[in-house]
This record gives sequence, C-alpha cells and structure tokens, in this order.
Amino acid sequence: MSNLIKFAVEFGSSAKLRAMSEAELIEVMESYELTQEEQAAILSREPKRLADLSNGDVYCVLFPEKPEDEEGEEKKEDKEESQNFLKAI
Amino acid sequence: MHSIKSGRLSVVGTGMMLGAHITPIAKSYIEEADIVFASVSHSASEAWLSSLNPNFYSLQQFYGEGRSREQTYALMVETVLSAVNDGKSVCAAFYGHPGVFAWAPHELVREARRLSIEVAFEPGISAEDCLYTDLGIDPGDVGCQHFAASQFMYHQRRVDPSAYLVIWQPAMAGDLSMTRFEPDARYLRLLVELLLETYPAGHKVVLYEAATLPFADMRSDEVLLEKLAEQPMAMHTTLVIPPSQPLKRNLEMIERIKSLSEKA
Repeated sequence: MSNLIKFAVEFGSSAKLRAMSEAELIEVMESYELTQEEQAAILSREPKRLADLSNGDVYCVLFPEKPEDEEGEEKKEDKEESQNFLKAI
Repeated sequence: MHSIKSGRLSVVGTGMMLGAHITPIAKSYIEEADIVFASVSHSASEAWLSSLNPNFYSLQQFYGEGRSREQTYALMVETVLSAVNDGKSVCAAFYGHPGVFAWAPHELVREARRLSIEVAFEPGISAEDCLYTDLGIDPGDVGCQHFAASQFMYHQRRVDPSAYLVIWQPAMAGDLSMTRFEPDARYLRLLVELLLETYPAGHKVVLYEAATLPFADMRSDEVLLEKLAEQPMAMHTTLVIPPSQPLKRNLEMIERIKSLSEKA
C-alpha cells in the first residue's frame, strides 16, 4: 500500500487529522513522505485532481433497468469467462 | 472420514469514503476471508482492501467497452459463487451500501440462499446516507421519494411535489443498451421534459456527488431544472429535487382521527 493510501486511510478515520490546520497537515504529510504534487492535490480538495493522483476510475454498481423484462442470452459466455478468471487466480 | 468443506459468503459494504465509512464487522469479514472480490469506486480503495487481505481480486475488469452492465453484473455473480462452490470463505465487497441501488450484491445473496450457502449481508454507508448530512436534508421532514432515472422514465410514477425527489444515476437516463458510461444530453432532455410535468422550469435542483476520498469535497451544484441537460455529470451524480409545493393537510383524515380520539 502506497504512503498516499496509508495517509488517506488514516485521514479518513481520524477526527484529529481532520481538525488540523494546513501547516499541521503538511507536517503530517511530510512524515508520510508524500510528494509535493500529492500534498498540493490533497490541500486543493479537488476530487478530479485527487482521482488523477491514484488513477481513480469511478464505476458504479447500478441497478440495470430495462423497459421490459428480458431473459439474458449471454449466460453461457458469462459462465465461461468467469471460469477462466477463476482458473487464472 | 472425509468431510466436504462448504463455502461461505459474506457480502459487505465498504462505505463511500476510503477508510472512513466501513463498519467493524465488514472490515472483519474482509480480513478473515479466504478470498476477497471487490467492486469499489476507486483504485485507492482497491489498494487499501488488498492491504487488509492480500488474496484480493478486483471485479472492475468485468466492465468493458460494448458489454452491457447487465452482463458485467452477471459475470461478477458467477465468479464469486464459483469460488464459494470451491469451498472457500468468500467476501464480496461493494462500495457504499451493497443493498442499495445495487443489483449484483442482491443477486449474489439471493442465489447463495437458494443454494443453501451460509451467507452474511452487511450494510455500509451509502451515497444516500452521505446526501442527508452533506445537503442537510432530513427525509422525515417532508418525505423523500427515490427512483433510478431510467426506471423513473420507463414507468408511470406518481411524484409528490411536496416531498423531496431523488433521482439516481441521471447520467444513465434512458440507456436501453446499458453500455453507456457517459451522459447523453438527448436523454437528459427527455428526463427534464418528464420532470417539467410536475415542476416549474425555474425550479432549483441540486447535482450531488458524495466525496469518496477523505480530503476531497463533495459536489453540490444548484442548477435550474430547465438547464439540467447541459450540466456536466458523472455516472455517480445524483439529482436532488427539493419540494416545489408546501404540504397540504388532509383535513378529512384529521377529522376522522379526531373523532376516534374523542370516542376513546
């Protein structure tokens, strides 16, 4: 786990860190050896800049909604792909 | 005597925000599993989960260009259940709440129970939960209706303009192919047209996105309903429509309640 993610997890679960001033936060980030680019992105609080830091693509687990109920015809192919994936791990 | 090792399944939510929203029991299921499959919102979340359990596999790879989301979710379910059938203790982790606007986790649990597999289904903090605190909305105040955008468009629904209306996944509105990953203004205009049957064009609505990283800001952009289709949206953007009318008292029902109280 990278230092950036370690810091993110710590920051996410610490009321103390969240209450820190910018100067105090920079000190903590230094202790995690975050780069200047990472520190600047964190202080900016811009979701896009932060997502770019960690290659963060967002996909959602949706409710697949169709106008009418249709039976999927791809189940056999799905099963094969799933089995291949499991064999590979 | 040989015993057959039976698989177990836990389906858990990791919450919306990395490291901040997971429950102790969900974390424990992840740590204790033989194998963890996950569909989470961020590569940073994947890295964190793999630190909790090194036998971690992302389900994100099943999303693919040209593949419908329905197929993707079916693949996720098939893959996880195959591992359970191999006798493993399997944890399937989904970001947010695994039981809210999430077909795959529900299908996993349904199928596991049908196969008499031992299953635990644990909640997480959802986008809806974050919405209430981020936007300062109490659903008990005037009531709150929730619909997935496409379902809202495909069916005749009764909207109550004196309650909040929350439309989930407006960017995917009307996506019959279920292969889109970007909003399309043409479909959004249809959604707006439908909403204009209930709300005035100048009604202020909110585009909301919960923060997924602890040092990121949430999105809360107020826009006019008539301008909605031209606004930038992501897959995870939520449309929040405040009431356009005050609550109206049901005087007849109040009188009937009063008469019952008087008789008592």
